[in-house]
Amino acid sequence: MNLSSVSKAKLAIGVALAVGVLLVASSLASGQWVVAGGAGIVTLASVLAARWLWIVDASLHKACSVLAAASQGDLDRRVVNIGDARGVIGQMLINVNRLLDLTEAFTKEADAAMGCAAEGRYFRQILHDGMSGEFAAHADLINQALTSMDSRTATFAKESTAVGGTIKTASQAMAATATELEATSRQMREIAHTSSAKSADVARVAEEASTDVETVASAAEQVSTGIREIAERVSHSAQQAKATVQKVGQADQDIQSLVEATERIGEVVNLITAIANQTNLLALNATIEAARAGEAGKGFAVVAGEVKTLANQTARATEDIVKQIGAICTATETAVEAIAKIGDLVHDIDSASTAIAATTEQQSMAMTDISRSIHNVSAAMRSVAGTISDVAGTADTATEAAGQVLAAAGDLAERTVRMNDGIDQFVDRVCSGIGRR
Amino acid sequence: MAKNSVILTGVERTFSSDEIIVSKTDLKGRIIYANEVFQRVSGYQEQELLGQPHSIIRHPNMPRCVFKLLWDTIESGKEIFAYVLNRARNGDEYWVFAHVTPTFDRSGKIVSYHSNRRSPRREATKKVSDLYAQLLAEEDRHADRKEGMAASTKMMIDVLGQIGKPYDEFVFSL
Ligand SMILES: Cc1cc2nc3c(=O)[nH]c(=O)nc-3n(C[C@H](O)[C@H](O)[C@H](O)COP(=O)(O)O)c2cc1C
Repeated sequence: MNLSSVSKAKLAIGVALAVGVLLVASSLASGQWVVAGGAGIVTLASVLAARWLWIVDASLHKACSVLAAASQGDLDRRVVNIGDARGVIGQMLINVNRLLDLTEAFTKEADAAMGCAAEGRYFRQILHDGMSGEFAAHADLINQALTSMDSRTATFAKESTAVGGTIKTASQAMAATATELEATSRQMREIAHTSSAKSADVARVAEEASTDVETVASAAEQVSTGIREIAERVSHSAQQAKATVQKVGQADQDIQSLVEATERIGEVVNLITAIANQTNLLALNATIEAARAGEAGKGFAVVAGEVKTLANQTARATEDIVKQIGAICTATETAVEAIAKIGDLVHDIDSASTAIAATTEQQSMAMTDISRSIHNVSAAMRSVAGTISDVAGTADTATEAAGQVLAAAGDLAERTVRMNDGIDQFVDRVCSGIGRR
Repeated sequence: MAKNSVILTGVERTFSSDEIIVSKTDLKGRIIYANEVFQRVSGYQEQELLGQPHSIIRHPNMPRCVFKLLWDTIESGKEIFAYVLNRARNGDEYWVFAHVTPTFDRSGKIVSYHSNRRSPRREATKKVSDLYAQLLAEEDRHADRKEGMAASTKMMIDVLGQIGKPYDEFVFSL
């Protein structure tokens, strides 16, 4: 340490002073004036030297303690009351202060600038003024760093806000879509649910309808069979009618011969009538003859009366016969007319039944066709029922899927909302973290 | 210091831009350190400054509200920048761009104040002296010191409000 040198110097000056004083005393005692004068100068010089040394010592002490504090990181202390110290020592003390002033100014500035930067306020830079040499260079460096930090954080904040904005727009769109999706899937679920129920209904109805149609088909078949039977019967009756016509023709002939026979009977009757009339006349004559013959003729008259009665009875009988023949004639005429009418009718029936037969044949065929198509319809319906059952199954699956989608959409919507908040918070955090808000 | 009792020469002193005027005060604003540049520019010797209130170099053209803001700020533990017009021993004047900060001990208690002053740019001092003149005029309009200071403080707040900048940013923008 310097102190040791100063101490030595103090010691040396002390010795010089002591020697000087002794020398002054002894030379004065021995009357050696010249020596005494020299010793006096030495002594005076020593005193002055001692005083200067004190000042130097005190200055060094001050500088030392300030520097010691500074070396411990205490930059606040300064050397004061420099007044007495001049020259190099004084300059040294001023330089100690100057160094500390600069260092403290630098650290304070750096602290303040960094403190502000930490809050994202970059306007506060290290003041270049007052800084010199490396302090100024370091200050410039830090300021450059702050400027670039400023622009970078500004860019970063701008970009992260923009990115945040973009993400937010996207996620808002997503949220909107999710909400839409939610609504759609809700609708879908309802639709699927409804269609499931409906298709189940339809399947059931179709199944029922199919059964009904089947019944109809068999009914139609029966109808068809019935029609065929009718057709057969009709054609049978047509044939019978034809046979009847033939028979009627026969009857006509029979009647004709009957008429002829009647006519012949009439002739016979006429003959009989004529004979009866003759007989009556003869009887009358006989009676007359008998009456002439009196008694003899009495028995004869009785026979003649008998003959006359017989002739009258014959005449009456023939009259009856004529009457009856007339009746027969009238009856046959009526029969002939009737037969002719029957023939016509039977003819009509015949043609009608032929027509009916043709029609029923057609109908029967049509009915068969209908029955077949009804069968087809029934099959189709059954397959529809099957398909619809499938649809119902699919609709059930769709309902389930829609339910899942709904849940997922809800979840998505919730998440996007959370994400939105998250993004806002993130951007806020980012920006406030770099002091841009 | 009463305004009419001080000598003013109207002569402006300057100092170099790579120099700093440094001073430290105790909690009451009494000078405990003034660097060599301080001594040279103010014209006072160290012995004349040590122990004296800092207002020893106060210039009468400085509005009181500025020093109020200064003290309010540093006493709350914060740094402040201010353009200050000072008066040298012989009545000359000099503008400084002062940075005043509290010094804390290890427990965080304020133990003293410290000030670095830089040579300000002329455009800045021009603007500031206009504002200070207005503030001072406002203060002089009021007989009561406190009232005057309240009025000028309000005026300053209004000006800052119009500019739309906090005080520190405003000072740096000059
Ligand atoms: C560290 C420090 C530095 C200061 N520097 C100055 C200065 O340079 N000029 C000045 O007028 N006041 C300065 N002041 C403010 C004074 O303490 C005082 O408030 C001001 O001069 C007003 O004086 P007044 O209250 O007597 O009017 C400083 C105060 C502190 C704590």
